[in-house]
Amino acid sequence: MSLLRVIDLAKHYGTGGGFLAGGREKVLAVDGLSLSLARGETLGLVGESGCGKSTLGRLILRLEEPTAGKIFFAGEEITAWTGKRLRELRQRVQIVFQDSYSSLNGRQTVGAIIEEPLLNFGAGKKERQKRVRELLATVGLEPELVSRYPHEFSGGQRQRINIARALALNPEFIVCDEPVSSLDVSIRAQVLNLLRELKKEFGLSYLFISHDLAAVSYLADRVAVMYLGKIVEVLATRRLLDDARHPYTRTLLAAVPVPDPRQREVCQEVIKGEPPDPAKHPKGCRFHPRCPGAIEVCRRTEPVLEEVNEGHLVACHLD
Amino acid sequence: MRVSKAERLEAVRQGLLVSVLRKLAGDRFALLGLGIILTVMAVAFLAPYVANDPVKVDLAKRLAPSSALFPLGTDHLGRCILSRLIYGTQVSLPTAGLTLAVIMLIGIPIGILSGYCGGRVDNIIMRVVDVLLAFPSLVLALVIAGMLGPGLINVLIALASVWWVEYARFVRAIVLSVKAKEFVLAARASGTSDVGIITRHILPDVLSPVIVLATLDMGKLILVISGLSFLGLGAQPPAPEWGAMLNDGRPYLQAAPQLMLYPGLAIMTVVLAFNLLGDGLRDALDPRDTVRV
Repeated sequence: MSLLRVIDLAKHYGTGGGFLAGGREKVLAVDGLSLSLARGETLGLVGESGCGKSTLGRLILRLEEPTAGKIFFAGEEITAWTGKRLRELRQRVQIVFQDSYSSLNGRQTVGAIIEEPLLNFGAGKKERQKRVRELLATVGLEPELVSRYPHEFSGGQRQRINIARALALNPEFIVCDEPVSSLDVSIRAQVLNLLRELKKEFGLSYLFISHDLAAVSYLADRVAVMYLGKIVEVLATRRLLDDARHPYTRTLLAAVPVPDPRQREVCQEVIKGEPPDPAKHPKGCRFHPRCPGAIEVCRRTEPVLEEVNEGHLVACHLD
Repeated sequence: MRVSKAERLEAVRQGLLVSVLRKLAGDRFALLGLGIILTVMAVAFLAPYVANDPVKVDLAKRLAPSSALFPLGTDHLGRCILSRLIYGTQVSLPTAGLTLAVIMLIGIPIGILSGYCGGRVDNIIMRVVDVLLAFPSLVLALVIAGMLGPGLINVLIALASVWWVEYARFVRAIVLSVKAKEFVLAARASGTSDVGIITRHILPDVLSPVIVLATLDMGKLILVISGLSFLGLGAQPPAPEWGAMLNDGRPYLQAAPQLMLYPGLAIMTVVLAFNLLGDGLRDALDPRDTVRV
């Protein structure tokens, strides 16, 4: 049974204009998106900036209210949970943000930061202190650092603090919202390895959001590709290179740098056009203005996500 | 002079208070302001021991010049001007302080509510604030004080009812900027309640700029309260209030200028002191790296 299931989820933001400005423009950050994630699985979510990846993460955490659609967690619909039930959910679902600096309050010590979730759920003082030291050790930091402030740490260390806070309540599921994008390449691998070890140790499931296909394929069991608020393709990571069908997925793959200079010619298939404006969705297939193989039907009707092979879903007319 | 990163980190570790005090200690004007304020407060406490009866009328000695017994002379009713000035500190400072406290008690929670809740609540509160800001606040305070009748408490009510908007606006802007930070989202995701987020994450960021604003406003309030008393709306005779003393001395400006000169100087000195301290605090609490030397 799936741990997380999202059905036709949508989040629309009104932009600009007060009540005198008349008709509002709507940004369709997430627009009728469905996906599911099995217990113990890592689902990678890729897509370019502004496609709604982070919004999806926040919707799942119930940090933002969806405009439409349903979210199921462990078989229960959590879309409308409030108050006590939402607090229960907070113990089971956690998030690690992209910016390791702004996601830590600079006025709090590391101890206070990691302690906060424990405090919210009524752990005693002794127990909290013990747990904070445990958590620091778990993420590979010296327990003696509890009284330091976030700015005294490097980016990688700060991201470890974020991870420790997310682990504090023993969650089952963690949304990793671009956790390594703001880190130096040399530190990325360390944090990715840490996430991988933690998953094994605590039996976690991840939704791993990133624009970096390399990072995703290192960690994820399956990859979901998102374009303008919708999933366009889902497939197993090990099949990604060979079986990816959607033109957008293929261009993303082609854009991954190849370390061999003699093969540079191969990766010239760079995506055309500007990143789309999420306030103006094109009619028909939302990718057609940038698609190299767009045909007439792409301009008129929107393709639906269909299973083409076992566990391989694609939304494209060209198949 | 640029403060090095190491020094700044050290400042954070020591806690805000110590670092602010240290920076203030290097600011001569702020220290002067603080010194004057502390002296005036000491005078207010010591008034019964150092001053004569401020309301004792002695018509035989009216409009007397400076003498050993009356260092600043006497007023039109023969009352000791220095004694009245000294007792005046017991009126001006507490009234301004109390008014400021009421203003902050109204303005800060409303600002937090407006910024934190957003949406409709924010819209309604901000439109009320806009309306109040559109009137000249002093004129509005005059109208309210006039309707309620003279008296210091009524002045307090009149000023608080127009002045809170400044704090509501100010606090709201800070809350909006803090609320958008990811650590607030992270706190919410870890189950922190709205109250917890406000007290743990938002209030600390609100406090230091509000302290600066309050210090500067303290000077403004003393001036405005004196002004209203001068117009006869505030302290009532024979209470020794500085603004009221100015008004008392008005008919004798040419014959006995000391009647207006000394209360005027007293008001100016105290207002200046609060402004100096406020400016110094602003520099000391400035989150940016650079400081003036």
